[in-house]
Amino acid sequence: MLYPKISKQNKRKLKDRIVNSVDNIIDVIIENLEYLINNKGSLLEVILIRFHI
Amino acid sequence: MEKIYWRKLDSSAKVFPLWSGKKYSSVFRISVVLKEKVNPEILKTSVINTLDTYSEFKVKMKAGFFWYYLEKNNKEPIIQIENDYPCKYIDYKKNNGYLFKVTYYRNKINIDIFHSLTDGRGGIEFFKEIIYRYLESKNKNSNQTIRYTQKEEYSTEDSYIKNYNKKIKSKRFIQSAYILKGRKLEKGEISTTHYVINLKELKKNAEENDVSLTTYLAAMTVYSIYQTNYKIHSGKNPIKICIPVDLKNYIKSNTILNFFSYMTISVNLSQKKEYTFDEILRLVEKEFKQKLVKEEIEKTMTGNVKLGRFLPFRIIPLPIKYGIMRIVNKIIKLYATTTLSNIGKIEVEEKYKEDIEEFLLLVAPDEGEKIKCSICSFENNLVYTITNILEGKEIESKFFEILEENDIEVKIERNDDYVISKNK
Repeated sequence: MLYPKISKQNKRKLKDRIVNSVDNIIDVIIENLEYLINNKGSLLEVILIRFHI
Repeated sequence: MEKIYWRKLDSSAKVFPLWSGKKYSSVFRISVVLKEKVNPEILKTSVINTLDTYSEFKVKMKAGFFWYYLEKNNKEPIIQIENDYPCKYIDYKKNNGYLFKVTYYRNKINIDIFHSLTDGRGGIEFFKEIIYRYLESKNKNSNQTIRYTQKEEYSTEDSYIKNYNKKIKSKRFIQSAYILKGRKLEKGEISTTHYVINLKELKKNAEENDVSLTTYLAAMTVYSIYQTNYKIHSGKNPIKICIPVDLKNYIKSNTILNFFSYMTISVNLSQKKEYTFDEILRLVEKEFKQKLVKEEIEKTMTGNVKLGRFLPFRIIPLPIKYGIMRIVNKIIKLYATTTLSNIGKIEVEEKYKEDIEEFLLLVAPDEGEKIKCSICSFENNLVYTITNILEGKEIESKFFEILEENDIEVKIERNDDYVISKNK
């Protein structure tokens, strides 16, 4: 036996998916704010990284 | 202030996060089957120590304004028992930011890798180092000597940018491919079939037909699809198989990042009522001869690089790029029936061979390419794998039938209870 038995997964409800998406957006905003605060001494570098094309 | 370690994604890697998700995971898996049960504690330490050497993979993905990029990851990787289907989308936010996932089950260690991190060759190098360290720690008290060799010198250069030729005209897709039909498994389920084939016997068969191993296996794949899906659904478009090509075989590069292209073999089977295996083999052979040449592969590579270098596209904000690339991906998927990845022979240092049973390579199937095929070999075994999201297993059964008809020794391993037999 190379693989485990996988139990059937419950489908996620729409409400859960919306809550999850909102959580993700909040995470990204917090992460970006933290990033700017922690790296305020090197704002140029932050801009360079975040805005590279 | 400490300098921030970050790097851009390479030209191939940058498109994967734009179209990947639960439907298109862009994940491949390499597994090793050991002769003894896996010790999770030692495995975790081995992965952490390997990341010190392969710091290129100790990264997390972040969203910039125009592109995703990679930044140093200070968290520990999560190592857990296998509890899901292979090659599932790696939600990096739930994986401590990492773009790879190491799992284990009984004697088997798996590494699932998101393609933005590296390609098959880079993945193998990284995984081999984890295995070496694991076996060294596990066999510490035995007579096995400690390995002193260190990893080769790799760079993180974007070898696509360095080597693509602006003057080459990129290829255009002409005719869409036959898309496999049939009822699908439930969302998220992936069926896996491994054929552990006697390499000597397979090679002998390929040599008798005067073709390479990959050509022979590609022809077997086309024939299995033709007999069990194409004919039944009265297919008209050609069966097209996308074959990734390791560019390091053609262009010198020491990058550990992605450096691959692909060729698409196209077999038109609508000209007459019935095709034999030999006829299909010759059609496939002809395609290989025409397309497995440096100039053709460079054309495909150039096309891919050009899109990422196209300034109007580069300055589109990420969320809009995301939408565009999802549509582009849906269109691209119309041009391949399946993919056949061959990472070739996996060479392992002599003293570790006795601890290893076999290696496996798996590629994620998706809504477009409902089956994906992959090949790797170790010692005298070649493992051909089909991952499938279709309910029916007729293609797998036909493939098995061809092997049996040619007296090639084969052992089958699966992740479900379906019986692969001649009459299915």
